[in-house]
Amino acid sequence: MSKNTNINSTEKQEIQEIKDELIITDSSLVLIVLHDKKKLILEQLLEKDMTIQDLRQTLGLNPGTIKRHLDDLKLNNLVFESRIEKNDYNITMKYYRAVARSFKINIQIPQL
Amino acid sequence: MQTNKKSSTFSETKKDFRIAWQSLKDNFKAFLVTEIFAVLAFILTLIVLGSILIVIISLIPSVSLSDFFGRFSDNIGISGIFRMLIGLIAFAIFFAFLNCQHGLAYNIMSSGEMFAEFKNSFTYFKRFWWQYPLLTFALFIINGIVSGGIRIEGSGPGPIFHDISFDFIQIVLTFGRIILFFISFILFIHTFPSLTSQEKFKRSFIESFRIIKSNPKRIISTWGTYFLIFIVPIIALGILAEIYGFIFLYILFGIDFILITIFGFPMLTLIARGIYNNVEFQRFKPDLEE
Repeated sequence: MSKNTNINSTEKQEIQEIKDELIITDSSLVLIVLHDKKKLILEQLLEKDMTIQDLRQTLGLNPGTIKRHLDDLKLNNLVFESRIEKNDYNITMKYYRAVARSFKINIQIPQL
Repeated sequence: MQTNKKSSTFSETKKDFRIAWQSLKDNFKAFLVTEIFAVLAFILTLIVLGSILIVIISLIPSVSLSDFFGRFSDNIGISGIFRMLIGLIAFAIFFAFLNCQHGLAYNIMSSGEMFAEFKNSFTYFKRFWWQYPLLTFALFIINGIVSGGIRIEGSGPGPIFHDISFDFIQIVLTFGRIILFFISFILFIHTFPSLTSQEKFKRSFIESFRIIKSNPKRIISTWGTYFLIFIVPIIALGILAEIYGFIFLYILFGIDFILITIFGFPMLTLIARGIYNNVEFQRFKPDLEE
């Protein structure tokens, strides 16, 4: 278990613990995790935090599309904003990270 | 030592331009569509207001179309007020949308997302629909008063090569006006990024003055370069076209105008935002969460 410690004290931040594994038992989350683009984004964010621009360069997707998928993933507590940094030109950079290092799907039918 | 300082100032200017250009290249579509939308909104406003007027005229028999669209001097009362009102509304909408590009620059450089989309312009339009045009009109008035309008005395519509004495004094006067225009420009240009961050008029003016006071060399260097690239050529072409009346000068003027619209204004918003974020000055705590 680790905590992200690279946080700018001046920014409003949420400190979130990154789990080693997250078992998804909620069927509504399965569709989200298995969505092609969301899965691609989530895979990138498993081991490191990335900005939308990093994801754009890696995945070649439109940043607007990435943002919408990230918002969806964030809404469902699958990713979070890990830190906010400023580069040498003071451009604010928001980093995203998956809430766990791996995701497992465990759906039982009928659900208990 | 002084050479180092000079090169450092110019390297900051180069950086201002390089990052603004890179940001513009990455988000070109959002800026361009916002500009196209601003022009369409302007035209649509004129059409809608014109149509409303025609309906009113058709309903009131004592009023004729020439009362509104006739020569200005024929009917200075109704015609003048109407023209001013219709122009003011259309330009207010145009400038409100056009200046939403300052909001796009905010999205790229200050929001953390590092990109902008056209739809974000509507968010800024909703937020600053009256502040952006009011600030633009105020700056036009200030610039007009300070520089007195940059044109050659005696020029204007009429026979080419007649009544124009383009002598040394006029050249000096024209340069003087360009310099005064530049001074008023650098004094107030940072009001836009400040307003976008602070959402307060008074603060935007105070911050704009603080920026120039704290970083005069960099501001003069960056905006001076901007002026040389985007503003001076169009002023020169405008003056030359007015004096000589050659068609190719008007064509060049038109091409330059389009280039400024497509590249110049978005670059202005990005450079202004970059400087606002980057330079050291006493800031107000922003109300808009970054």
